[in-house]
Amino acid sequence: MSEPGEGDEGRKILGLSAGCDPTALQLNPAEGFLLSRIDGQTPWRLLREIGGLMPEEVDLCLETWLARGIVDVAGLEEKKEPPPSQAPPLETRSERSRDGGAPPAPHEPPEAIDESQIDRDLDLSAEVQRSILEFEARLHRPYHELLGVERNADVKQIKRAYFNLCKDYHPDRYFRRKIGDHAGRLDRIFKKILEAYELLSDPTTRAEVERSLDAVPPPPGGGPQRPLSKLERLRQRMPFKIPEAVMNERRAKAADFFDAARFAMENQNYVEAASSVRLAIAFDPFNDEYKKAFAEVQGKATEMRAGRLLEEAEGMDSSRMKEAYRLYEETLLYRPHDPAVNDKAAELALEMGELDKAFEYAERATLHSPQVGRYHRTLARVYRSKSDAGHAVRELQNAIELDPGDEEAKKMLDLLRPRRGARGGN
Amino acid sequence: MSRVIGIDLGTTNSCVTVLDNGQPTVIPNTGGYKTTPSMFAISQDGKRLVGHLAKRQAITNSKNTVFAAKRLIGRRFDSPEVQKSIDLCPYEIVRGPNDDPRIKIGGKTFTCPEISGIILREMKRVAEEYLGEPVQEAVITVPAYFNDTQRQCTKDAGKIAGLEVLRIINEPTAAAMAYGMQRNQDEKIAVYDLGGGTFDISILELSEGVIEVLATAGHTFLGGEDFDRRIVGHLVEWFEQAEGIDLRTDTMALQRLKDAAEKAKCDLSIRESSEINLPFIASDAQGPRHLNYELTRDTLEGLVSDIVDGTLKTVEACVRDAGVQAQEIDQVVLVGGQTRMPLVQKAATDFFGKRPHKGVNPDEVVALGAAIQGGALVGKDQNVLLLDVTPLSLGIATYGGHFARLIERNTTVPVSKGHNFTTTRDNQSAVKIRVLQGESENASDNDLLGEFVLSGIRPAPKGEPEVEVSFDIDANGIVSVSARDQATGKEQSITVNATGTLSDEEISQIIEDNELYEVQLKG
Repeated sequence: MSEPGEGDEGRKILGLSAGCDPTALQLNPAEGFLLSRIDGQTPWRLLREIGGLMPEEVDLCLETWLARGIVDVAGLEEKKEPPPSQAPPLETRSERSRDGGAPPAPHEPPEAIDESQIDRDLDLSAEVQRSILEFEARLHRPYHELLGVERNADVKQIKRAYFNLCKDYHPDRYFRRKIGDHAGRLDRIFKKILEAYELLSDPTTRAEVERSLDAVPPPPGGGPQRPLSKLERLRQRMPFKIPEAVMNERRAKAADFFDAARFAMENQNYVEAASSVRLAIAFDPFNDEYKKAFAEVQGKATEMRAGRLLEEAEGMDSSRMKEAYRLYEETLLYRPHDPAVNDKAAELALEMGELDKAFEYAERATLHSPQVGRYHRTLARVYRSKSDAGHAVRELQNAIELDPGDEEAKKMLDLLRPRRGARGGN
Repeated sequence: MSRVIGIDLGTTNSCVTVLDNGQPTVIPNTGGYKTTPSMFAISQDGKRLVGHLAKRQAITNSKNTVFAAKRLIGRRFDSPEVQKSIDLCPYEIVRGPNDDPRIKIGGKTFTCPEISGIILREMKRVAEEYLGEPVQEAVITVPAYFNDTQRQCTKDAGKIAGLEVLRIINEPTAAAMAYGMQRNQDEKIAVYDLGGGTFDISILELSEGVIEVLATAGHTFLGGEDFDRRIVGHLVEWFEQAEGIDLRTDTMALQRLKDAAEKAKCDLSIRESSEINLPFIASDAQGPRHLNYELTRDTLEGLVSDIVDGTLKTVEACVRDAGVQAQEIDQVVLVGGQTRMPLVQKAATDFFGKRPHKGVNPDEVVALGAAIQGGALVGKDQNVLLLDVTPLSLGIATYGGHFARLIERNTTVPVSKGHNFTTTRDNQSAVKIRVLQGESENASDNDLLGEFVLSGIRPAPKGEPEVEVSFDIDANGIVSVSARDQATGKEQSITVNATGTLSDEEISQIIEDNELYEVQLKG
């Protein structure tokens, strides 16, 4: 199996599937961030760098999403650099990018927001504040994108989208609440949503809006690819050069964020640190120090997240098994190789009747820690459920050999043996 | 925090509601009635009477009993509506210092917001008695066609009553909110509201808890009272022919006739005929005369069918305005006591091709909606969101006395819109921006909300400078207008404080007076 980061895989450009509604997915913020990087332009290998997760985790997520049809391959990167076999390792490739070899990573992620604008003292949850800030940052986008509808959406879909946005962004929703600067933002957002709705729901004005969008002809080859904006086409044709002055300004900003990140790290606030480093990288995407720090802090942050998830899951009784199972599965996204988590997930999968999953997890646990008897016992239970008594007995024997005090394994073995014994007696 | 009440401040009757465990509930007054007459009187011995008490003595004290003051509120004394009221009402209407109509009863002159304030105070009292706690905040409904001045006067009335008015909302919209609460489907509905003094028709769209007004139209001067008046006119004519006595100048007889007409009208919604029996209505040399008349449903329908037909013309225009076909309307909701009349129901059924929705009490539905909006605002009910609209177009006066609309009526708020204008004379250095509200193409026919001057425009041939005029309406309906010279970047702006007919000082004075009066009452 070829590694996605290398070869053709790495040059794959992913795009969100047409019918996919990302809000329907169950993603954690880190995955959400990665998903938001997928823009139909950035190749896989660059996603590994800017995706905000460890490269392997990026691969895992992308593979999962590909398999589930959330993203699909939008096309292969244009051949503008030497064949992949000659591609230098990651770090140097970034250097090449700076020289203008490949389209650079997006310098200003559209949803990048200034987290400092989130004020915990307000009568608004941080999530709502974030969504307001993110929406405001997108206000310059085309109208149908603002409403979150397809270009060919009918009037009914447009209306529904508008109504739904009204529920979140109409100023009356936050009547008399202490919302600080967000009042002005809501006002701007709502007016823009209203404008979008008014223009798109009237056939005449809608035609005009669409004409202005179509002013740029679609790229050759057409197909389901979304039309590129003028700027995007320019970027494709020539290396994108940012004026030095702007670049310096950005680097300064990045340094500020990085300072904040270091401070957060010292205080062991890894989630915050990760978010700050992420912003630093957004402003200065080719700084190796940041990337190294990011890998480290992200690892710590995911570790903590996984730890918290585990705590949550462990506190649950059987009535909330389904939820616990989901939490363990989620934990596995962060710690795919943790045998204890795999073992627990296997047990729960077994309870839920998901035999294939149970087998996968139980086997993974024993592969990573073959010396722990308990894991073999779990694997035995899975085999038993699959009516594979032979393998079950073998795993139980392994378990007892590794842990001679394992009474449960012995009991199970006794229950399995008579049959075997009866057969032997014949 | 105290609870928010909803008040339907009607022309003839008012209704107060509150959210009770999330359910909008009508609060009955001490007499057990769910609505209270919007009437205020000063009795012969100087006592102030409100509601049913005022109504009960209205016949004998017609000169000192105010009804339908809502028709006067926020209007100029010279307006046709006020003049028409002067012709019709037994109480005295005089010109106030601000050119506003004022009402003179019991030797004292009252402003219209003051009268409405007294009614609102009564509603507040009813609510406080029922809830056993003080009430400070209210959502009040007004007809969709009320302009900014009328809305502001209604707010002032609230202030006089000791209420903070969180929002003024349109009556049909409130009805739709009450309706949307009960049913949770996507549909277009028509609210046909024929109350005592006003007629409104609105086309709305309900979808997943969001209410959007597609169009609204109506008359501030058409309602059940016109029906009563037609009956009274008919009776007066008949009596004149039968007995040779003209009752038109006899206020006491007119009030009795009005009372009887209203009762007969209500009777005829369930019966085919109703007996009007008014003994001793008049007397002449031959002694006392009685009025005995059998009014049939057919006669009544003959008397008022043109009024009902007239409402349908407005309905037709409104449906067209909304960009829908009559058949596309999923539900027709009837609001207002007058819609109990079979003729009105038949007209609505014929027009929309479907029977009106039953199950919404036409007298209470508006007030129920007000309570729901109160709850939605202060956060008790997050499932409902009202998308409010501007009731009238907004714009500026342009060269030649034309009205340039920047914001069309029925536009959802908050909203901002801008347009470029230019000069009409060479080297013109200043432009006057006159902010207007209304539907007439002639600037002078619309209401002036405010004006300001943008000066310092660089000398240039006419038509060359570009002045961008922007209108902005925030969620509370406050309008601000700015003008910007594109060449110099110079900018002027005003916030159009919708002015009522009373100044702040006058309002505080009235509140103070009322407090004195309250003390007097208790003592």
